[in-house]
Amino acid sequence: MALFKKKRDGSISVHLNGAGRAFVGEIFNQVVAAENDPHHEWHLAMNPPINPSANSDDPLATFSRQKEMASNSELAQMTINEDTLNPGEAYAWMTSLNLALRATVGLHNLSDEESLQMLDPEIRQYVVSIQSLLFGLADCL
Amino acid sequence: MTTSPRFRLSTESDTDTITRTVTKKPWKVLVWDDPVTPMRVVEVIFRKIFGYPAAKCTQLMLTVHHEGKAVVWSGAQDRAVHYCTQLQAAGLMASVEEES
Repeated sequence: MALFKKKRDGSISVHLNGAGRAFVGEIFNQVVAAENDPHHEWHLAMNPPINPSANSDDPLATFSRQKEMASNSELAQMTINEDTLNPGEAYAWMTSLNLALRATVGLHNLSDEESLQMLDPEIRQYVVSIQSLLFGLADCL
Repeated sequence: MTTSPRFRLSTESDTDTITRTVTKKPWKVLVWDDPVTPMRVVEVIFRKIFGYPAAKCTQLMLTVHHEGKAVVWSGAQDRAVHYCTQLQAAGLMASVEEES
């Protein structure tokens, strides 16, 4: 059974069991926490430079990114128990999960497939699980 | 009957308007390859943010994958920064750069 299924009306049904929803919900909580807490281990990876050649980024641009991330991850948090998502909610789930993946990559300095294979099995399983969710959501969008 | 003067009086002032067009260099939005984001996710994000047709999203995603990066948009600086923040907020590795 697919984790997500696109219905005829364009909505997306969620087929996650309790453990699956808990796993995803915890990721959304971490993304929201990392946005707000500059000391969170994911914060730096989630806030890369916009213009690397400049000494610092325009504060308005960084604020705009933060607002967009917050909007998506908070919507994802709000809909964690829903059986059906609309495309906007599913996109919020996908981008929040992808942010978590980006943060994990940054934290463990994964630069290629080889470094992924050399990861601690538990973290590799974490990465693979997020990828499976992302595959499922992307196929519905 | 009045006639237009052939010669302007010396007291008239001349105003020259010089129109100068300053061409600003465009800014590029770059997306960089990473080892973990599924290709299909990258395509969906491009479609959602830029509204590109599916074929163009696929082509850009493949360029990122094979060449390590792709210019996904080019134009005014403020719009480039806006698109870059949207891509980063979606979890992609993106940056802006002025055209050389």
